[in-house]
Parts: sequence; structure tokens; C-alpha cells
Amino acid sequence: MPNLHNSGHEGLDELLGAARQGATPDELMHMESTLDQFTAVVASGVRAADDTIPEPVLSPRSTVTMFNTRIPRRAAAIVVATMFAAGTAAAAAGGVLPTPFTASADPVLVDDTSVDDTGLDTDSTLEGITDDTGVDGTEVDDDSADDSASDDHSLSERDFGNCEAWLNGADNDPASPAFAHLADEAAEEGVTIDEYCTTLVDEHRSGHGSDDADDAGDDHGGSMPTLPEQSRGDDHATTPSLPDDRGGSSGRSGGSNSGSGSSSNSGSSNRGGGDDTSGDD
Amino acid sequence: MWILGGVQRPALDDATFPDVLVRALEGDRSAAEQLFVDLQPRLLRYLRSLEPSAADDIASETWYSIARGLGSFRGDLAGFRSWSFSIARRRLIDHRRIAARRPVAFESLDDTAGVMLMGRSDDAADTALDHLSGQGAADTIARHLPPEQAEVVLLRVLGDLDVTEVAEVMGRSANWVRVNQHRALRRLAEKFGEGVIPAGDPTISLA
Repeated sequence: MPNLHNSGHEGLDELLGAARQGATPDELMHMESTLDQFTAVVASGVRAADDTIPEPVLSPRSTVTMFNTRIPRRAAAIVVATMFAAGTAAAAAGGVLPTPFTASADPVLVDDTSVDDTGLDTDSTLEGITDDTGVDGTEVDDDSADDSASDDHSLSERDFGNCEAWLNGADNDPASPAFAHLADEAAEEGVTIDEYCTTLVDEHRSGHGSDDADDAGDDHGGSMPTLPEQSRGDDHATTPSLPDDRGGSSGRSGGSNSGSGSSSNSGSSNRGGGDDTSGDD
Repeated sequence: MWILGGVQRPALDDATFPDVLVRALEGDRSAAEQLFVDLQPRLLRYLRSLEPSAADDIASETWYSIARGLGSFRGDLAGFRSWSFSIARRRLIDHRRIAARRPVAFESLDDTAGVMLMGRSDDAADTALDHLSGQGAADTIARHLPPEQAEVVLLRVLGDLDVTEVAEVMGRSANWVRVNQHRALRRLAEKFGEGVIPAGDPTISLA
């Protein structure tokens, strides 16, 4: 029991003591009606075990509860996720995202050299898938050689363009920035710009003619260098991303009537199992 | 011992409380009266000092909740008072939340302002402690203290609750109650006591 009426300060003790005074008639004014209700509720047995200390109940119209519900949170999460996915898809379609997310290379930003590099990347991507075929190993070596000469190639491409402009131009100024490099190159070789450019254009056209011939011979076309690799890989693998299925497809093609139910094994084992089963049958 | 309707009745204490509780649960009206006479003045003074305009309604709601939960109550007289004040305090909080969202008409605002002005017009020097009623003392405590400090003192004085019980009712720590009680009593002593009490005066560390 707290001892609040003996603080040692007379005025304070009187104040606290007065608060403890007995009931006044005013305070017991509603006793009869309250007791009627009290006894009726107790007698009716209306008891709630969880009502011993009732919790404050917020009004359903409260704005706080409206924003605390889960439905708006879920809706907000869905909207955010949709916007993120749509933005990523749009960026991928526009070629803004880096290689793993890019749907296609932007031709404006890619010159011939980078097209070659794209082919190299695709080859290297497919290397781990089709290395069993023994085809891509040679191509990787070729592409790496192209890579080592890529700087010179791009330089000559720029000179080739400038030379074509020089040769086709009516009023050429050797002092202009575009032709200054040609003048330097020609001076280094001890020839005129016309002679230098004529030689360069001839060499370039002859070189490209042989490349086009190679491409035509492969039936690949120059615009999509990656597709031939995939089509070539299709001869050996049905789906590049699922190397096991490649063996599985071979297994099916080799032993499709084997009736073996275990499809999780490798193609060779399936094929062997199919042969064994057919042999047993 | 107290008299009601010309009949002497025993005061409620720790010894008689278990029997009174059982009889009240069985529908004995005199037992219910004993609970009411013991508790109702305390509840009303507490509620009227904190929410004068709605104290009687809140007290009525509190008794309804007590009647509903009495069958599941387990404890002694101090526990019963603590439990009852917990219910009353939560009903008070409910009332204030509802009132805060309800638009206030000009008439009732004027009435409320009038009550507040009337209640706060007197100074400590004008308060005649010798003639204070129970409600007057509770109002004086509430008037001269910040709300939380006033509630601590009122619960301790009116509810006869110890520090731990007050902490449970208010949802605070016991240390928080001790600190606020000390500050409240020091402030009241400065107003109504003899002279100014220095900070840290041990005589008002009553817990």
C-alpha cells in the first residue's frame, strides 16, 4: 500500500488525504441503475474471457486503418513490380541494357568490327555447349585472330572511307582534318594522296570481295553472324541451353523405340539403355 | 464501516473481498453494492478530474465491462482495483479518440471552454485545502500537474495502486512511474507544502 499521506509536507498531505475521502451522495447517485445492469449482466452469464482488459477499438472510418490495410500495400507492390518489369523490358528492347539483357544489338552503335565481336561472343557462349562437336574450337581461334587485328582493321576502315571521299570529291583540301591523316600516310609512303587512296581502295575492295564470297559460301549472310553457329549447333544439339537434352534428343532419335522410361540420364546412356532393352526384347 | 440507506455495512478489505466477489458473481445485490461503494467514488474522481464532461458515461461503461469480465477475474482487492482502473482508463482513451474525430459544435465548445476556464481560474493560494472534497482534491491535483504526472498520482492515491500496478495500468515501466511520481509530488509540495523542496528531497520519494 503506498504511503502517500505522510510525505512530511502538511499541505501536500492534506491534499492527498482529501482525495481519499469517503463517497459522497453525488458519487453514489446512479448506484441503483448501475447495479441493476451489473447484476443482470452477471446473471445472464454474458462473459467474455478476452474482455478482462478491453483493448481500445479504432473506428472503421479511421484514415489510419484505411492506409494500414494490406490491400493497398499489395496493390502498391504490384504496381511497382509491373513498372520495374515494363521498364526493364523497354530498356532491353531499346538496346540500352548491357549484353545479357539486350534483345538485339543496336546497328547504329555497332560497326563491322563489333559485329565480328558479337559473333565471337556468341561463339564463346556456345563454346561450352557445343565443344563436344569439335567444330567451334577452330572458329574460336579464327575469331581470336580477328580480335588481334581489329585495331588495324578499324583504322583502315576509316582511311578507306576518307579515301573514297577524297577520290570522289571535286574540291579536296588536304589541310582539312578529314584528309590530314591521309596526307600524313601518303607522305610516309612517299606517294601522293591520290595514289595512296587508289591503292588502299583497291586493296580494301578486293579483301571484302573475298569475305563476301566466304559468307556466301556458308549461306550465312553477313548481317547475322551468330545464326549460322546456332544452326550449325542444331545439327548436334536441339537446345543450346540444355546440353543434357541434346543428348536426350540424340538418345530419342537413336533409340526412340527403346521404351526406356528413365529420361534423366545422359543421351549416351539412354541410347545404350535403349539398345540394351531392344536387345533384350 | 459505511452507512447506506440507514444500514451499516462492512467496509471492503482484503479479508472480505473473496467472499464478496463470489457472492457478487452469484447475483447477490448487497455484494455488488459493496463493490460499487468501494470502487465507484474512486473511479468517478479519477475520471472527472481527467474528463469532466463524460466521466459518468465512462464510469457506466466501465461497470458494464466489469460485469462482463468479472467471472474471469482472478486476484485480490488490490488486483481488482488495478483491473478496474485499467478498464476505466481504456474506456477513457476510447472516448477521447472518438471525441477527437467528432466535429465539435460551437455550443459544446463554449461549454467546454467555460468548464476549463472555471476549473483553472483559482490559484494554489486560493485553494482551501482544509475544506477540499474528494473530487476537489482530485481536481486540484489534475490542475496543477502535467497530465501524465497527474494520472500517476491519481492512480496511486485513488486506486491505492503501488508503483508496479500503476505501471501496468499506464503501460509504462515502473521506473518511469517512480520518476514521474517524484516530480509530481515535488511540484505539488512547492505549491501546497511548506517552502520549496530541494531537488532530490528524500522525504517525497514515497514509492
